[in-house]
Amino acid sequence: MTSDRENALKQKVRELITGGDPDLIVGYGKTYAGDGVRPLFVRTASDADRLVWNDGCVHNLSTYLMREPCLEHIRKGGRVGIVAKGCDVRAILTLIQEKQIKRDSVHIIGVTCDGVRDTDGAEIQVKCRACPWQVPSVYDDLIGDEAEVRPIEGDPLEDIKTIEALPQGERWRFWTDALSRCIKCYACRQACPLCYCRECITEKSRPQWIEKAPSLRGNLAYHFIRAMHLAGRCISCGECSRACPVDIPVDRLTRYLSGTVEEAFGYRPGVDPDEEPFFVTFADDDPEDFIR
Amino acid sequence: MMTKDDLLKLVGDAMTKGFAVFAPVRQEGGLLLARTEDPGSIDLDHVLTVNTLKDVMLPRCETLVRFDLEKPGVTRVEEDAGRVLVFGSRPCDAAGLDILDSILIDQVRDERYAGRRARTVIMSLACSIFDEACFCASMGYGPHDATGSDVLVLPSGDRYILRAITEKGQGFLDELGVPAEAEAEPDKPPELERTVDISRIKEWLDSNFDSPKWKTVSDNCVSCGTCFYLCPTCHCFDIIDEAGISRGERNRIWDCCSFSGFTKMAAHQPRVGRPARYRQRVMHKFKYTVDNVDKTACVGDGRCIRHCPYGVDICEILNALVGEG
Repeated sequence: MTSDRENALKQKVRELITGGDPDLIVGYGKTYAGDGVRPLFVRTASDADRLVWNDGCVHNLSTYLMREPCLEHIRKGGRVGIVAKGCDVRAILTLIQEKQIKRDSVHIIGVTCDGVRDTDGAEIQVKCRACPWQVPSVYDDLIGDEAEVRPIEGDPLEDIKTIEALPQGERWRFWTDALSRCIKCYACRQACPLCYCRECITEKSRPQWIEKAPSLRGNLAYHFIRAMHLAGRCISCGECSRACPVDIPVDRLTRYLSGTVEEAFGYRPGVDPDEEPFFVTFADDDPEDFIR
Repeated sequence: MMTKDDLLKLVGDAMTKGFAVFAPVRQEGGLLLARTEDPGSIDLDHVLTVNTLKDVMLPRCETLVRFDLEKPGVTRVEEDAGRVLVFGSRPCDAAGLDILDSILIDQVRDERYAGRRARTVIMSLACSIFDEACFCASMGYGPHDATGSDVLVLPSGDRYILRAITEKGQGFLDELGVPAEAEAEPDKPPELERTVDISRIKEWLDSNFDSPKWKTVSDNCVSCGTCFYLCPTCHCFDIIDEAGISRGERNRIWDCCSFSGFTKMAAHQPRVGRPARYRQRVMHKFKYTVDNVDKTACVGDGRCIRHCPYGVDICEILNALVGEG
């Protein structure tokens, strides 16, 4: 039951915050006006009472780990608590794999998940279909009962397969149509928990590697570079597309490339925190000789 | 009094007379204010388009000059000087233009902006509906406000009243042969649910540049540019040269105070970190523009609230800044 989980979550977070470790916890609360859901920073026990848990908890809160105030807190030796669904936990584990944060710096409050939706009345997100992470794989505390989790039906790759099935020319048109809408607000990059470069290549001006203009050419360059940079790293949380104000399905690019890496190398990011990330390792028996 | 069909026919007539028409059109990316050549594609039943009139007046990318090594010198890129009609944008967006006019025409004259303004007729459609993010009334405007519009279209039952607001608007109606008639009673403007009291904010900002509140008030913000790019009054821009081996162009593109490179100079970044950059956004809207042109750079259209992926709410932040604690 949702409300059971919400109550258990409030109680657990209150307990943690009263104990003082961690003393900053990111969870979900209500929007300022209305019943929508948005991130909530918990610093006191009364903040904890404002937490919510329902199927509107779509945001991947681990994106806050690499920015103020969480990052500052971690750098000073503090620990940060994160309320996380199974998919969000994969982003946290990827950050640990990539040595951006230490496992000890983050207190994972995992919550069992029945799927989330973007807005009231919307369908359960495509990413949630056939989700193998309804019970988070790694956590410090678990809210919810594993036994009560019911599988979510459907094909999580349906949207990607639809585009893949198009002839090349139409596929190109699909992406040029979509990306010509891009206004370069960089919401996709900022929402992404794994786009944490301190200086993005789009911001480099000496030399300027890619076009800054939100023209089709500049937009293609930005999105293709971002997609390549997330190959084998994207954990399919879909936050980039949710954040996009002009509905460009950018997550299909990054999810597709993570699928390609998994197919070719059998690697899935964010599963085992001790595993070496895909891009920093190679196998002695790799069939390609350029890598040796 | 006009029916919806009459209105759309009027837009069609304007197209025939050579006006390039921008109007709310439902497209793949949502409901956008976009160029259309088909009056039938215009959507009038919505709260607000995702983008604003700024897209028409201060485009997100415009080429200023081109250069070519083989032909030394630069070529100024002139714009199509044709007339433009914006039909069906909302009063809040038009009010945004009034603020931009003070900054980009009265304060420092931006020829390209001023040129577009002069040849564009703004025909706003007054609002009969609103949503929980709308707060134009608190900013001194309202669902039927005429600020910035040339012609205001007011709903009256299932018909519409056309009211010329400026000489340009009257000229447009005359040119299109819209007869002057005794004005009927428009519908009562709806009363918005959301209100915010901004009476104390300017004074607070004047003396609280270093307030510790800035540190936590924007916790939720992830520093994307959605609120800026969808704002009718944000107008900061960057000038960039984009060149190939022998040819290139100088473009003006939107810039945004959320970005880490914003105002970064050769040796110094005066606004380090998100709290300082979010403060810039609030200060620019509610203090600096007031100091410079005596207008608050916010029209209460609520797009920054509606479209923020992480629930940042400017009304809540304004309340928190001036409030206790």
